[in-house]
Amino acid sequence: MRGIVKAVDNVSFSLEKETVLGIAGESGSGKSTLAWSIMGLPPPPGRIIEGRIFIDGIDVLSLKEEERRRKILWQKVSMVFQGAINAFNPVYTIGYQIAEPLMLHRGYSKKEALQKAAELVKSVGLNPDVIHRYPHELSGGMKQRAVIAMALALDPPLLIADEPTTALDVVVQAQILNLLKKLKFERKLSVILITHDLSVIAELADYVAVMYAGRIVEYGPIEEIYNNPRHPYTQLLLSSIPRLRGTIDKLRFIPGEPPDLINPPKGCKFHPRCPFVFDECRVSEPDLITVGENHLARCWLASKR
Amino acid sequence: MPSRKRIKEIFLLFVKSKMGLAGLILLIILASLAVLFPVVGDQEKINNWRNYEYWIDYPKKAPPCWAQRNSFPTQIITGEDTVSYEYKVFRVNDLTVHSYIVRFIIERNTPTSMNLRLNVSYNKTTYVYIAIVRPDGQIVNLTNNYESPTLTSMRTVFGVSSSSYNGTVYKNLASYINNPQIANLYIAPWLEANNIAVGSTELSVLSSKGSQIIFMKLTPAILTNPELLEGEYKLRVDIISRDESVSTGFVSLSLIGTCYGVLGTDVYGRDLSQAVLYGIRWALIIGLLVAFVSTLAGGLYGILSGYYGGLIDEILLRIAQIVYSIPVLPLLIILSYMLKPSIWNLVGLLIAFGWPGTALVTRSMALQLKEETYVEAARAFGASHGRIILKYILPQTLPYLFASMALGVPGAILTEAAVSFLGLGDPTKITWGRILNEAQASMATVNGYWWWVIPPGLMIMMAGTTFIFIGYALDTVLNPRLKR
Repeated sequence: MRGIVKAVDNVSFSLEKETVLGIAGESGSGKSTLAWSIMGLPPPPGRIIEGRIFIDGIDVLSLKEEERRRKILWQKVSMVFQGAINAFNPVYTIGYQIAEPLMLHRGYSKKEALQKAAELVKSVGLNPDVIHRYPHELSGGMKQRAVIAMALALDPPLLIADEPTTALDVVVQAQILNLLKKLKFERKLSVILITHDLSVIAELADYVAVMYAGRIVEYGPIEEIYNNPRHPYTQLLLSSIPRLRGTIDKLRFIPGEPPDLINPPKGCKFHPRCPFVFDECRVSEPDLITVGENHLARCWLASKR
Repeated sequence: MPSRKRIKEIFLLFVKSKMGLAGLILLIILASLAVLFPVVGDQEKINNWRNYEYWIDYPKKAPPCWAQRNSFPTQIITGEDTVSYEYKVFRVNDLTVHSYIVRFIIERNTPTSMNLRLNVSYNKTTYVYIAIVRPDGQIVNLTNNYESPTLTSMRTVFGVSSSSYNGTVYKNLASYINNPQIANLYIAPWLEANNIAVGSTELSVLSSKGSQIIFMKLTPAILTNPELLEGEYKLRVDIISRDESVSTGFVSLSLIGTCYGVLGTDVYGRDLSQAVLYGIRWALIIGLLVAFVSTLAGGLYGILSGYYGGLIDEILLRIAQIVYSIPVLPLLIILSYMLKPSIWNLVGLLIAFGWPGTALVTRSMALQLKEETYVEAARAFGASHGRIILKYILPQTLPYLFASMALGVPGAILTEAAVSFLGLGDPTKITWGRILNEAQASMATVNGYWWWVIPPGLMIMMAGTTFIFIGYALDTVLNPRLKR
């Protein structure tokens, strides 16, 4: 099967300073593609066909690749990875890898850079001695912290965290989330938090964008989304999370599977799985419709009300 | 780069393995022999390797002396061995005398020939006096001496004009002595002075074996049952001239036996030990250069191919596979025949056909490595392709590259030897293959000149083994780490 996949289509949002945007969605909904595209690096063979991206007032896509590498990446935006525990080059020490951008971009001497690296490592709650270690000598949680320290080396205003806690156990997950929260306040950091785990978003995010089939289907402040979801997909997603308190109903799931993006369904992309589907859904796709303050939903039902 | 600590750790592991240690020791031996050749070898012999005149005094096709226990070990004393001879100038009446006393050792047997070379220059009548001073104090005159009524002229001994000459004079003293006339004039009187009767039978013995008799113990049975008198002998050569401005110089005294040195000589009399020793240099140069360049080039090629992927990969991979599928040796033979037979051409060709093996492996490694999260991370942090290739992917393939470099050396050495053996190598360079080629041309194997064939063959084997040991040891030490 060959064809063109619109992995991310018609996505638009803006992010204020010192706020956290959570992007939620199931596998293949285009979350990671979106993150890479924000940095101007869609994973090959993908391309950015149209659209614009501004970071700190700079039009990312108008820059040449060389300029983007020098001015944007790491300086303005850096990324913490899905499976970040493997984000270190196994042949160099942690300290060297954190210090390297400081030497290259900031002109630090090796000694100064290593000192700064030690400070950074300390600020994410690790022993400064870690800078002399090799990646394989660290545990998963330590590596994850070190990756965050590395990402923050050049003080970027925007941090993209792509599934930052996926491969970690629950205790370490909580520590990392607390660390991100702390760093957000200390460094006045804007964060885009990408995860399939709505509870992680609930912990950290100010705004939430729910993605489905490469589109944002619902966008709004965290309380609005959790308490008053307007899109059927969001509603179903939330009802599939077990609650700690309250009555334990039978957990619900969303029948069907995500659409094939080479050959997407006509109309609303969710209509084959939607319990509230009606004629219009099958014919044309709705726009994002304002349903409340800063709250948007891509659903014909929302427009009817 | 891996830290010093890790390099040390790897080195220790490497040395701990028996193969690694053996390979390392062999390599050190080979490398120091190659580097120290001017000290342990004789550069002059190598410089004169193709100057056949230089080797004229050397015994031809002589086996090594350790294999030929009862033959006289060849000794060549040249004018440069100033410790081996004394030089004096003095006057006798109105004659100017330039006197040389050359020391040499007789052991095991007598030399088959004794070649004397002198530089002389004179414009008035000149005579010569030659004598052998034996360890027992006996003096055997080979010409008239100062007490004789007349001195022996230069013409009599050297066959050059006695009144004026400028140049080198040469005489094989052994054949000079084995002459009925000389035996009668000088050797017989010496024996008679020592109470040994010399009749016509004895004289005929002297005229065929005189050059051996003079080195025998002075007993009544010296002619019938001779016994060698071993020890230090002196050859005295006086140039006696009426010309006060006579000038002389000692060139060489070559005492030639039926064996030579450690590894014998070839059909031209050339000292094979020097060639075998010198061959290490070329073997190492060719082996290391070819292995280093082709492995590194192939490694980078493969990494580029795997890293960029897509159409670039497809094209690069096909090219590598095409080159890989060409049978190298027949092509090398044709190309060496067509091109100027230079060793650098051969090195170039070996590199040109040696890289694809490594390239195919590093390509598959790069395909895997480029998907690693840390490469993805580097890209997200703005690292350029060059940086990712050099700092993220290349270091991961280094262990493999090192091992394949070591394992690539023997192939290059063997191929060079094969091409040279077929007579398509560089005729100006002394390589093991070239020695074997010349041995083959003289049918050394058929004639039983084993000392001409076995040592270069063993050296090729040893050089190969050295790098195979190192390669395998590196492979076992580094490979488990590769997977980490």
